[in-house]
Amino acid sequence: MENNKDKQPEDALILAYFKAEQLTAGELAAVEEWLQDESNNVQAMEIVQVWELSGLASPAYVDTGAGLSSVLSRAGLKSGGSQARKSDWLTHAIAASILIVMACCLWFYSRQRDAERIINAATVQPTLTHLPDSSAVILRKGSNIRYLNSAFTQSSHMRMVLLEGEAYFDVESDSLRPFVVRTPDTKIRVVGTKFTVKTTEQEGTHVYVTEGTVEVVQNRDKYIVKEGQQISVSPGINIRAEPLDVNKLYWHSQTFTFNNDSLSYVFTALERELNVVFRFSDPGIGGCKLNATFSRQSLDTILSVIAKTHHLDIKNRNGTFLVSGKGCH
Amino acid sequence: MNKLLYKSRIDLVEQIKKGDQGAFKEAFEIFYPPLVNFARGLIGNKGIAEEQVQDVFVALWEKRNNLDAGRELFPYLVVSVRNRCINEYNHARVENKYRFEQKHLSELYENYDQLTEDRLKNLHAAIGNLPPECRRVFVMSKFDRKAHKQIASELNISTKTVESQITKAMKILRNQLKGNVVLFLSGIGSLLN
Repeated sequence: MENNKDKQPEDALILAYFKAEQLTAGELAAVEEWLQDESNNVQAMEIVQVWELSGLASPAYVDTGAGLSSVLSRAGLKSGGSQARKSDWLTHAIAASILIVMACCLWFYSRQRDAERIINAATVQPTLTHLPDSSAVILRKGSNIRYLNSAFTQSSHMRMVLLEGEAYFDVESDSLRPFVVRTPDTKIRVVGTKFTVKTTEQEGTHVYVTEGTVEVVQNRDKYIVKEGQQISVSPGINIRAEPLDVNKLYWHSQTFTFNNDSLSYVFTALERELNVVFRFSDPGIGGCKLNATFSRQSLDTILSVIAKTHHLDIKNRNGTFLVSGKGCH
Repeated sequence: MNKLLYKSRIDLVEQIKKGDQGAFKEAFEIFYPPLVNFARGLIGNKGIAEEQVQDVFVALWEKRNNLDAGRELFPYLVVSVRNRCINEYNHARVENKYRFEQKHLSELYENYDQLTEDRLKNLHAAIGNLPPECRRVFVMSKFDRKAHKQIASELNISTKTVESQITKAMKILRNQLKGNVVLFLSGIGSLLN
């Protein structure tokens, strides 16, 4: 602690005192002695006040929609859009033309000032790219993300990207500027973590969390998805976090992990991720279990390990793999 | 999406006073998020923070006739939310108790009248523009609500360094607000008595 003439403790110490943080006896005495002086109280107030007010600048997500409907119903007001005011068609026409002119100006202005960036995935391999905040993104083929340059500047309050398709995000931590992925039906909000988002028109949005915690917001509902969990936000299904299926991330992890999983699960994963088809001589084969991790292995290697483990014969017939042998019961 | 609150709307008070529901909703949409964060910073619980701010807005509507049309709305709201939060301490519903009841800080009943929306915007920018190391420590302390000791161990630096970074941040932020916040009590009062 710095001791100047009037023995003013550091701001941090004064704050810690008011926040009731643990202080040493000496620090405690120093602050209390300093506070004995009436005139110092004004300074103490100023410190606490600045501290308090800086909370207004917190970028934390707040659900305004839910808050508003609760307040409106308690205040006895109707929800819905703002009240329309009476006006004749001329006023409307003038207002409309002013709006159009303004919109054009805004458009030109924003074109110059705030270019939109679009990153399209390469057509075959997953594409690794970096955002301006050095967060890493791997895009699955056919997917794209879009963002405004302004969302990644110092003055931005939220780093937002729009996603079509599927992407893995390794987000740089910045609690002053949360990172938000928007899909057509969902908003995924994080501070710094690793997760994958997949969105399709038919199946809605899926979020897979490999590190940290993310908040998934759909309409007014919020779901917390933790490390090792996944969630599906699709129409008509019960939305809840469930254990993460890491094999759904094969497209960027290049790794299959099977922990005593049934072969029917294993072959389904291979079919889904590698775009192949299997046929079985005996449905009982699906009941056999497999314990193995394949990292960057070819399909041939994977199949030969499975064949050896369970004494199976796997043959490629015009793109369809025929699996024959004894099942497990 | 990035529109942050602080656009000046002096006429909002007047419109709400007249019973304009659209203006009330607009005020809610602009000020609710920062006020919830402000309240949360005070009482450390998002649910209770939301509750307090919602109560203030309900009271704002119910007591709209008492509004002083010449004043800005935001300072009223800030003072009202703060008073509610202080009452919460007294009801001991909070997890982290501050020492507000001690000394003269129970009288920390600021006049936020000078606190315009523009100035808060500057405060926000000032936090964003702190030197990186300093900002990191400040953000962990303020927004992630971590104790100095905890920050020190997470960043593998000494508690002294944490304190000096926070002191540095406070100096910069206090300068930013200097002269803008008049600390002495004046007649502004809260909407809720």
